[in-house]
Amino acid sequence: MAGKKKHLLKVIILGESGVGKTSIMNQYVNRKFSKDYKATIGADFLTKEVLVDDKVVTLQLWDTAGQERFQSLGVAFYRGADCCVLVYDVNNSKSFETLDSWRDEFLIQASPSNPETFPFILLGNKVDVEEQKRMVSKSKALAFCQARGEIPYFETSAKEAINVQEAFETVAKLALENMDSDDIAADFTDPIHLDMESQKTSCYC
Amino acid sequence: MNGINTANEEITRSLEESLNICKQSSRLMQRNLQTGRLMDAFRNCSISLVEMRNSALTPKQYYELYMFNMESLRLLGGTLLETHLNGTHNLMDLYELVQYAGSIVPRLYLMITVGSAYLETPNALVREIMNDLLDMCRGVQHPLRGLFLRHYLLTQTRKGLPLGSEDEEDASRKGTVLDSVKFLVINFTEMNKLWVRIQHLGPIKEFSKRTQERNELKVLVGLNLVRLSQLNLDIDTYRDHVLPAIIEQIIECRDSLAQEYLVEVICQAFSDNMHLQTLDTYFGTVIKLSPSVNVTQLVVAMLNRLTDYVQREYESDSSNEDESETVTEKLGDIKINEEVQQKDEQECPGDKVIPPEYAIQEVLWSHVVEVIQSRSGLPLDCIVSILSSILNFFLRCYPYKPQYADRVFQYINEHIINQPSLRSALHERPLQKSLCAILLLPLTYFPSFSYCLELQNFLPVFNAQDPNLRYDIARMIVQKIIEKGHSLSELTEAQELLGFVSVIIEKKGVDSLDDLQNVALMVHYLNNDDPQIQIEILRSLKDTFIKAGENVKYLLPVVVNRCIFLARNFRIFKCMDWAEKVRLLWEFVNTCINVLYKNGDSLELCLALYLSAAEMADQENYPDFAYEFFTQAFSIYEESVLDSELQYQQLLMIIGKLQKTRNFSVDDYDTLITKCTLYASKLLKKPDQCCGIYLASHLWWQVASGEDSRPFQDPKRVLECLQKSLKIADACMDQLTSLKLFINILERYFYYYDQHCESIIAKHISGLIDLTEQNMRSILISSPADLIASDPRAYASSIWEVANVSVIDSLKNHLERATAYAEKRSEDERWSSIFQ
Repeated sequence: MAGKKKHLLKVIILGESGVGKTSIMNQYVNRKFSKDYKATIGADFLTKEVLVDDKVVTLQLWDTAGQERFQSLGVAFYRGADCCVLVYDVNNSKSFETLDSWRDEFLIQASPSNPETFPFILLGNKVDVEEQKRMVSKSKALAFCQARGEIPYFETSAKEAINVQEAFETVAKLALENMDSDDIAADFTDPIHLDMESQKTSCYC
Repeated sequence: MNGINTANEEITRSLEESLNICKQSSRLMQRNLQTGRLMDAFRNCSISLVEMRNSALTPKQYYELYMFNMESLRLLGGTLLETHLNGTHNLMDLYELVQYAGSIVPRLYLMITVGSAYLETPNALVREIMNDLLDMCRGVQHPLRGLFLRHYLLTQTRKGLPLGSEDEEDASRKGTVLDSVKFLVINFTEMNKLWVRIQHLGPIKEFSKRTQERNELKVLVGLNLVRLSQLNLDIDTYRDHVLPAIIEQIIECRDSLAQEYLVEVICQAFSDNMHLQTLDTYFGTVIKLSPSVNVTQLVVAMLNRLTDYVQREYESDSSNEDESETVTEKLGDIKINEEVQQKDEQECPGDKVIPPEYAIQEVLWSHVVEVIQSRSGLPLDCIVSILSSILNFFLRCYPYKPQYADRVFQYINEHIINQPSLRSALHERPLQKSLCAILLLPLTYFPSFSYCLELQNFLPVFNAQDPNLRYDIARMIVQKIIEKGHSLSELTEAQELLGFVSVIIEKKGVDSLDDLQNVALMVHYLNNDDPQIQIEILRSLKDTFIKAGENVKYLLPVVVNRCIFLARNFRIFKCMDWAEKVRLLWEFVNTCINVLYKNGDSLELCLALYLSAAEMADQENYPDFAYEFFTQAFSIYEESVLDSELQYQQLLMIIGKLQKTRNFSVDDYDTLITKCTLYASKLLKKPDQCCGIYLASHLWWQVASGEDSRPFQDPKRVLECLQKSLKIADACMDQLTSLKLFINILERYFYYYDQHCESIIAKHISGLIDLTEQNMRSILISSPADLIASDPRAYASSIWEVANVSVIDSLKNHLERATAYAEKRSEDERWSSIFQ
């Protein structure tokens, strides 16, 4: 039977070590927060099915290691991503200053078909911490987003579940739009290999 | 039969070629899935997976290929799960079916894909499938292929692993969390063996290449431990089942690369609560690792982790308490609030976060010492690095309990500083830098410098450093005290601090002026409310500062100034015999200024200090000392005879201070001011004489400033001063200068007339006004030639006609303003009589 095509959207979550990437993902997928800190070793993903514009979409969310020594096999999984989430800690200036490095690294490794319009989203996490500890202002973050193609910005707290669901609704939409574009492009470049189809190989029945 | 033969061929293709094959097959598979042709989908997927036998790929290249195939397999798995749930195909049937794939690598990937999808279905035989998959994966013993295959197993079974307890129904079918533990431990063990095996395959000359490849592959093995940490195990399970099994494998593999990495993963992947309850095991393991393992990194990682944990938990608790305090404030119970704050100030973060029964300070310290002593080959810089981490833990978690930090310094003293065998190493730059960093830690993290002084072993470590290093540390000490506003209030504390800082003070030359300035600034942080103690602190400072030699002039003034203000504190404090102690204080001040005096090159400074001291001594009613200080000031003044401009300035300072005194006897005051006036009359230049004398006139006319003051006033002398200054002004050769002085003197007459100084009468003023206006007119009507005739020096000024005119105009305006002032007061009969 001919089934309806199911969308698998690949999302990469990047950011400095300790900003809360894993906690954000756990809050979104499992609606849980653990105050225990565990460094992310290697790359790991969770999946979540969501409804976007009346379409059933499976988000494949890739959590990454913020420390280079825990990413020893490289970032081959960036390839084919549909959206990239950049995360920083609003109470940690350095995590904001390194965002461009993460973004550039992603664009180089993932090699999207159109780097200029590839969808990013920025999350400023840990807004639950008291205000006087805040180091990066909202206006500064918004300026960063505007300078890089008006990417969306959310201020989140994985701990208090602030804006996490909202942020990933936007992620899903962006990823779906991006995937649709890729599909259109892919259709035109899909070669037909008559030789392959004509070969007869043993059947497993 | 043909297929079987084909599948066994060795594959050596480039990554691009393999990826192209995979892309074609994957695309075909996806179409098959869309059209429901499952058998074709399996066949095309197998074609992709055969490429996983490519032997020409590096680990990173293999990872790329693996990632691509994972995407395909996940699509396949998702579809299969969907078809199972809607009843089209049964996963168990498919699980049997894919086992007929012709090659083991594709076969196992497909089995994992189908099996893991099956795990997520209701009523799945979870335990059976888990065990089956584990056993089947043993079939791939090629290290690279096996590692990635088992990594895929980990990834795909994440959702399906059971988390239940033995008490649940269907535990025998569904399995329990312990089954998951067993599953992951076995997979970990097998992966580690594959990983270690890589090191021993191939020729010796490629050993380093294999090491590099193994470094790249390590995250695959580490994922097992991550999965274990994600099971949300209770402490007992972790301590009794998980950790021992992991550690057994780590120790027995005897591979230093694996050991180092895996122990760090244990540290990083599991929660701090689990670590706190298994420190014995962790550090015991560290000791047993292979000799070539860098255990320093493992010890430091755990110490840093626990330090961060305490900081994080403490801040979290503190912010919660802030909220409850707000509630308390609303209730208006300030007393309780104060008590809470008092408690908070002394409570260490470590005490609050870690229960006392853990005895964390003793446990960690004993482990650190044991590691250092057991690993006898540890280089010195590694030992220092470990000590630095444990010191950091003590300082940040127990900032109010310096005894723990002192253990570290004691250890450094006994095992590093005082070890003859390490004598030469102590002079090596890297070690010195490390020790310097250690010595700076207490300055950074203790709440005040007082706690540093409680570290009995700190000073010996400090003194063992090279002078340059001690200088740098001393500089940092001073800077920290100033930055943090650390205040020391005890004499012994101040003395110990000076012991550290003396290396700056005793350095010769001008290189350290900035640092000396900081030392002087630091003096303001040595404070005790009891002036008796404060004076002793200042004495210690003076005794130390004297060692600065020529540079004493940058340090001692601040001591003098603080002593001067201390005199007032004594009166307010009113301790026993306070007046007598103040007399001792003034003697001390005199001694200090004398030290500055004898060091030369600072006479002006001494004069200023003597005048400040005299001023305060007079205010506090110690006229004998004030008299002595003024006398000393006059002596210094007399020594400045070679610099007339300086003398003039100094004399004005003396006049200013002397005029404000209030507690001299009439005779003493008269003696001082007479001397002062005489000095004014002997200034080298006539204009200076004139100014000096008319300013000195104020000495003879003090102004009342309070109820009990007895201002000294001698109208006769005032008039004498003014008249003498007039004579001098008249004697000036330069007419412009003379005129200017006349106007200034006229203003003085107005002042004293306003003060009702009896000797100043209207006739004097009107006469002076006439005389001054006459001089003004004579200048205005005279031509340059006339100026030359009357004043030989005036020739030069006539060249600058514009400036000359400007000067005359300003003098004219000055005179008009002065006389206008008097005219404005003509309603007063006394003032109007001036103009009759």
